[in-house]
Amino acid sequence: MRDPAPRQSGAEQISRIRPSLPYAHTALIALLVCAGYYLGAELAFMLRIPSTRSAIIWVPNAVLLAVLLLTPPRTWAIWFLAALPAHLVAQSRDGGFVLVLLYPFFANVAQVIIAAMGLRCLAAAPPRFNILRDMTLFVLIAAITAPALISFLAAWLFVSVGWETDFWLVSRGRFLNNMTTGLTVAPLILMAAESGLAGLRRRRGQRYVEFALLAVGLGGTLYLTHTWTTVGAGSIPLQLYAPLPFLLWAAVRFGPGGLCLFLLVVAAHAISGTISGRGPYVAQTPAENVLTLQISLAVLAIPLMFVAALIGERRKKEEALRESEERFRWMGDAIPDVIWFTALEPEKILYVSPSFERIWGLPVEDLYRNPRLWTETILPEDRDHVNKTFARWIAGEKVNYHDIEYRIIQPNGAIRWIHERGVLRLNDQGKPYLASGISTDITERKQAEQRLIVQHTVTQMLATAATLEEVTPKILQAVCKCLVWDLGELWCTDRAAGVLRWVEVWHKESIEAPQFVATSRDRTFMPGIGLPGRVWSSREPAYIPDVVQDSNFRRASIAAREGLHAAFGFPILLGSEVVGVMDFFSQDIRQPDQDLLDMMATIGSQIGQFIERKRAEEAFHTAQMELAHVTRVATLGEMTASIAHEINQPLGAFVNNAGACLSWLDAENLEEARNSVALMMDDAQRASEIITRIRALVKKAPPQKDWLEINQTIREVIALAQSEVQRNHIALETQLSDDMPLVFADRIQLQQVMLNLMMNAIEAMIQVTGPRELLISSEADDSKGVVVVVRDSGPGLDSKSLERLFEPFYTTKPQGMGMGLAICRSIVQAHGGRLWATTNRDRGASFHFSLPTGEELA
Amino acid sequence: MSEPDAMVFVVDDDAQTRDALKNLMRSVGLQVEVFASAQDFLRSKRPDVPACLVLDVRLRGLSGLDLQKRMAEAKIEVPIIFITGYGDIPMTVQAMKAGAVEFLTKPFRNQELLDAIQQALERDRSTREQRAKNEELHTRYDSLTPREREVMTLVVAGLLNKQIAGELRTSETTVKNHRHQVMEKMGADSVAELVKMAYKLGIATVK
Repeated sequence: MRDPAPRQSGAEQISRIRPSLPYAHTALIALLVCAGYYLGAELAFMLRIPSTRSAIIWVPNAVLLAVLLLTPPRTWAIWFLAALPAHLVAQSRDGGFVLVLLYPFFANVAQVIIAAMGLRCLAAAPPRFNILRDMTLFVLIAAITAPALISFLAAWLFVSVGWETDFWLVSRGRFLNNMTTGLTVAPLILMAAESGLAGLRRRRGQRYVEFALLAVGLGGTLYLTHTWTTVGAGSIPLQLYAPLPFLLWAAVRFGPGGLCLFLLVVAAHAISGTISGRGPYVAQTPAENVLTLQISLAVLAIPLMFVAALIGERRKKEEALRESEERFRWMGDAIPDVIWFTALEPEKILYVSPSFERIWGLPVEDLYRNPRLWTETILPEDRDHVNKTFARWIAGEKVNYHDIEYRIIQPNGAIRWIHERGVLRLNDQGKPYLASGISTDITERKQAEQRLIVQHTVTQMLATAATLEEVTPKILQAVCKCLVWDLGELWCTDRAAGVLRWVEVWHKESIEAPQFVATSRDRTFMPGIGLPGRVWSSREPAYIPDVVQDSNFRRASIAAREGLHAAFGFPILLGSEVVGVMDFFSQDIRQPDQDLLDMMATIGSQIGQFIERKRAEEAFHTAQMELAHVTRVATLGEMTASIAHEINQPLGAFVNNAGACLSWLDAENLEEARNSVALMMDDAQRASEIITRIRALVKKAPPQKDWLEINQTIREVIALAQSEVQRNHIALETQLSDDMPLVFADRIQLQQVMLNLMMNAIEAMIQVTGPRELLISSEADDSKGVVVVVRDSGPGLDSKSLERLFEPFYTTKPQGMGMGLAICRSIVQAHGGRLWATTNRDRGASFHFSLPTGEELA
Repeated sequence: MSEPDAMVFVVDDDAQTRDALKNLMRSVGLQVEVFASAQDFLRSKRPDVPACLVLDVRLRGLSGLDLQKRMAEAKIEVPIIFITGYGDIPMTVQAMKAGAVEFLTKPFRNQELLDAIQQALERDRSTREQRAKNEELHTRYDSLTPREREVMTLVVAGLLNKQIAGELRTSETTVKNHRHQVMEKMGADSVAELVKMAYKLGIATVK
């Protein structure tokens, strides 16, 4: 596959490194080009068969090609200009006109330009000889096509001008010349120019030895074959294939670079032999010899180059693969999660990353040996679910992506949460054959989650619970279930006796610890003794990884028998005082968990706050009742005038009748006297009733509810307030409907409400002129139950007052306390009803209260 | 039924009080009539005997004090004794200023009430007597001829017969005759008495 990014030419790289000295190194390169060209030309002439004029290899072309491939096209002109003098000087040894000398130069220039351009467009510049494609293109373009083109063109020109006669000979000669050069010299120069001497130095010592061996071997072979030459046309020269193994060795072990070097050696040897008349290339005419030589070399070179390229490519691939594996292994080691690969049929673990050992607590080899091990380590509660899900997944049932959470047990008993995600590889039939995934240890997160859940649950429970007794078993259960503990207990401090007493226990159904529970029930703990005692005296949570090993733990032996090991406890704090202790037990041995203890301490104080709140509520309730009582009395105070009047009526009548009786007795009218006495008794009775009624109002009785007829109560209250009504000239009207359902309420409290509303109405009406009409009505309402309305014709209420009316301490009376309506409302609400006020359309205000009837309560 | 010589009216909205008071009155031999409301009392036909009214201040409808006012407006001169279960000073003062005989708070001593009733009845008696006397005087005066009335006016003014004759342009004798008639008809024994009568009648003005 093609390497994606073409590398930059050496010159470009150089120019990037030294941008500030472009001219300097351009000059340097130009000089090198010039020198190289000249030297190359000299070398080529040296290797020329004396009787011919054409060289066997034309090295300067290789130099030019190399420089063109290493530099950007815009600089090429410079190099040609630099090479031109060298060419002229070199070629001048042959003599001839300048024009004649220039002709081959232009041809060479054209050839290298074509080659270079071709390579730049189709391959990379410079070409990478260890990639097959590049190598192929190089051979095709630089070694074959460009020379061929130019050679034919040049030959045609020469022939047409008349300098040469045999077109084919000339063209062929030039072509093979350049081809040979391209196959041997050009790659070497290119590779040398690119990697430079630095590349040689990088080799390891071993390779030097090998290189030396190879060199010796090849040299030796050449020398030996040199002397054993069999001369004869038609026979395959030993000289040709003897160096073959060595060249192969060079190709395999040293790549295209090494190959080219040795190839050059072989070529040089062959050429020198030919020149001196030895070797297999001396049989024919010099020109033909040269041809044979060149063809032989080409035939030798081309396959070997391809082999070198192939091998180079393969080596690169291997290198890349090895690097990739390195990276993967590094990642596998570095990542804290477990990466795994499994073949599915048969089930075999292909790879498990080393983190497995840390998370599972088992050596990786165990898993390789026994793939089922991963199921065995799953917590029994989760095993079923995980196995089922996995089986369905690899059966291809659900989605292609598997995402699951489960718990495992480490060998030391600790439980960890695993989050596993996987992917399946499908074969051509669409059936999964490979599974791979990543397993993360999410224990910390899970624990934090669970702690949050417990916290939230407990907070909610405490917010909605009515009593402590109701909520504590729920809390024990919540903590055990969410945090996977097996048993929870509640202890309560008995301040008088100075001990902690057992209150209750909750345990998982599957856990039976009868003896433990039984002994705990009867136990008490002194401060500092046992886990609860310790928590009490220290006012801090405590953790015991294994109670069986703890010397202070009183119930250790029983715990051991019944398999309870880890324990922790925390105090329930009311302010700074411990009012209780909760402790929890587990069948596993667990390591201390400070986060757990911190959270439990929070819960302990939350429970304490709950207790405080309940106490405050109770106190408030009590205070409210006190206040209700006081207000009753205060209302009574307001009514003193009426009460006095009420009582004085029967008393006055009593006195009158008594006086009458005496008179009758004086007149000796016993009949009348008896009557009088009877009347006196009635009067006394009535007085006593009034007293009783008033006493009842003043008495601080807790609400005593009973089934009441509301109209009856209304009439009683009207009687009580009668004098007040009359004194203030109020026209009282009642509209009490018949067939009222019974209400379940406290008579005295309802009377208080009615009384208060009536007194308010009366007082409102006193303030204004105009008719004073008080209407009291009652009716049964389908939705609300029973509704009673007290309607007056006073000044009425504005909307602002309507809101504030029922607030405590809101009053419009100068002497008022402002508690009356607030208390009325709380009484009505305590009965499940509502109390509200409205402004009448014509004049005055109406106060309504509703009470639920029997149907609603049922 | 024979005319009683005195009458006590009781107005109280409380039944037991009414009964008790009725019992009490009867036990001391007083005639009593009870009413539940002021309106009932006003509507009733009262016998023309000395009477008094035992009245509760707090009543349904028209209150006791209002009744007092009404009676004053209607010139019903029955003396009133107020009784009440609870009274305050302003109430008392108002009642007494408006001419009540007594103001009692329950429970009061029976004797107090009876004394007050006696006092009231006495007052009523004397009032009635006074009224009766006044009426008689008026009747007598009405029986005089106009001439006699003139004479009477002048006599009462202290004029001698001669002067009266001169005033009236008549003879002295005639004057004397008239004078004699006046004295007869008016039933006055002396001129001084006549003068008193004149004052009572409101004709003693001097020209």
